[in-house]
Amino acid sequence: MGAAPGALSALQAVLAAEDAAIFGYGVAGAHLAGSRLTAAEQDWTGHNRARDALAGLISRLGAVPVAAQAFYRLPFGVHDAASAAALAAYLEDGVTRAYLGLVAVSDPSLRGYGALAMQGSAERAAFWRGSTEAFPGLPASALLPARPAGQSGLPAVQGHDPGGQLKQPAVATRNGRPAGARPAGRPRSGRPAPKWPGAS
Amino acid sequence: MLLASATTLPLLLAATGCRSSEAFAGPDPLAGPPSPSPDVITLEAVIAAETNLIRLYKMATSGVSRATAPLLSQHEQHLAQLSARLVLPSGTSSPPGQGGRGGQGGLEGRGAPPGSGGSRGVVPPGLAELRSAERESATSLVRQLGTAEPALAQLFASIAACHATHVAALSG
Repeated sequence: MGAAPGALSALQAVLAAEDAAIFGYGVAGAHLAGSRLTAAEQDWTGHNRARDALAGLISRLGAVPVAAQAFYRLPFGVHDAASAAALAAYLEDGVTRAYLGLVAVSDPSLRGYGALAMQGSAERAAFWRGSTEAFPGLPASALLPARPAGQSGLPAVQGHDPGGQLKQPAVATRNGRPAGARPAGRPRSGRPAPKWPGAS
Repeated sequence: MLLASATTLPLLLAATGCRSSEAFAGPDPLAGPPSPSPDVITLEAVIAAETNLIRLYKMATSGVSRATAPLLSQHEQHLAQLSARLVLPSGTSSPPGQGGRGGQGGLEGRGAPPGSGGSRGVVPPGLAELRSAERESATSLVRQLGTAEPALAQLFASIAACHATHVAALSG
């Protein structure tokens, strides 16, 4: 089974982002209780499953999955429930960016997988943040001013998130954040998990 | 002189049985207007769907519209970004969403005409209908990004993810 150009590096970037999220949820969970702890545990489990599936897919493509780091430097101090929730949102933003990189590869099945997977991470980010965002995963540099004269085309998001998003400043996806639109509780879309391309 | 040459040469070529495309590397002046690229057609359809979502939000009942105002604002940002990527030549037909080629998401023709702000006999949509429309739109966007140019595909995927978060927000 061969990989489309760029697909392998995009998959490795997603795997690295999932590994970082697994580590981060471990930190966040220590400061959460009740339904929020339950939600964090569900998300941690989901990221573990995604990590395993990604590693399997990368192996089937003939490559060695990138290994998780032993330790990740946190973007800010996590010492209470509020900062734990902020960390969870930050982690999901990183995962969303990584899956968005997968959407740019030429393989349509991988594109579809990335697009569906980033819906899940965007939903989780909105839950932890308490608000929705207009352009999950897209950096501000990818957005155009409305109706620029004589300009067309969208700058592609270059490169893939290296998965070390815990080391990066928390700036990327705060585009057009509304004041409201707070998802109450923990609504889930009910959408089945996207199936991995080539999985049986 | 240049104008005369440009208009008469294709006629001369046609009269002699020579296709102008054999003489020039540029567009064939004897052919009809060029057909839009697949990305343009897809973009027009997505713009039409986003326009219809905005229309639906604006028709929503007053009790719902206050809670959904931030979501409507995000749809308007989507429409602005999508529209900024489609430059229509002057003199072309109506923009997408207002009778153009576009039209998907199952919302075409629903309720009042654009800009009417609602009309008698039209039932304003509630949360469930908005939720359903958001879900349909997210699904449709993912379906359409498979063959799009990469950067456009990423924009579609991001907007679809936003619509998915709206489904969750409207379920709260």
